Amino acid sequence: MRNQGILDPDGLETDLIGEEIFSSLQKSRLSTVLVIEDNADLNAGLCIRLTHNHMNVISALDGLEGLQAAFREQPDVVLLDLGLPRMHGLKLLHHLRMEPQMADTPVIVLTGTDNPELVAKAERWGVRRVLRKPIRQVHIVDAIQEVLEEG
Amino acid sequence: MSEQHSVGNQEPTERDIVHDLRGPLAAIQACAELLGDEICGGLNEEQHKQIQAVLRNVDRLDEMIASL
Repeated sequence: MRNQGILDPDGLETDLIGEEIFSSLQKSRLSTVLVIEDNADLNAGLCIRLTHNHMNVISALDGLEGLQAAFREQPDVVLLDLGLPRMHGLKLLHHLRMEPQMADTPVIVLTGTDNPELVAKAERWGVRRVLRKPIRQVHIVDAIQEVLEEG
Repeated sequence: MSEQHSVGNQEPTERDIVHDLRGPLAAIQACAELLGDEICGGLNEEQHKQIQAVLRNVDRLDEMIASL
């Protein structure tokens, strides 16, 4: 039974505080996805979709910003474009793999390239999935959830 | 910016062009899907049909780009 204070006879304030704590606890259990994509419209669309699918989302619009966000936020998964300004996606991937804390962080590449050499290089550096643009968002969400379950 | 664009002012290759076309196409698709799934608010039947038309044509364009 809820313990209501004299100053909160209807329990409204207690309910609000409870909701806030619940929301905070719920958020802390959500997986964090870092979206590194330089097309701002696609980036925003992905963020809306992943948030809608109960994920914490951080976004970056270029490679350098993405690398800094990765080190700072330690995401559970990175969704990575390759053709990024300021730092190519493969270079970013290389930096991640050199950092012990990020060496095993699952990375999913989302790219428009057909270049098999780039894809092969990304796979050699341990990306979990390579998704080719354009791709239905449900497949991106599925890939992220699969990778999270794989651990 | 394409990851394959060569050094200097060299003409982009077909692979560069294919890559560069897929970025905006993916953005159009993502926006249309968000609308179609009513994540940004409800749609009426006619609006759903129009979104489906956008998505069908994204698929057609994707096939055309892949065949370049």
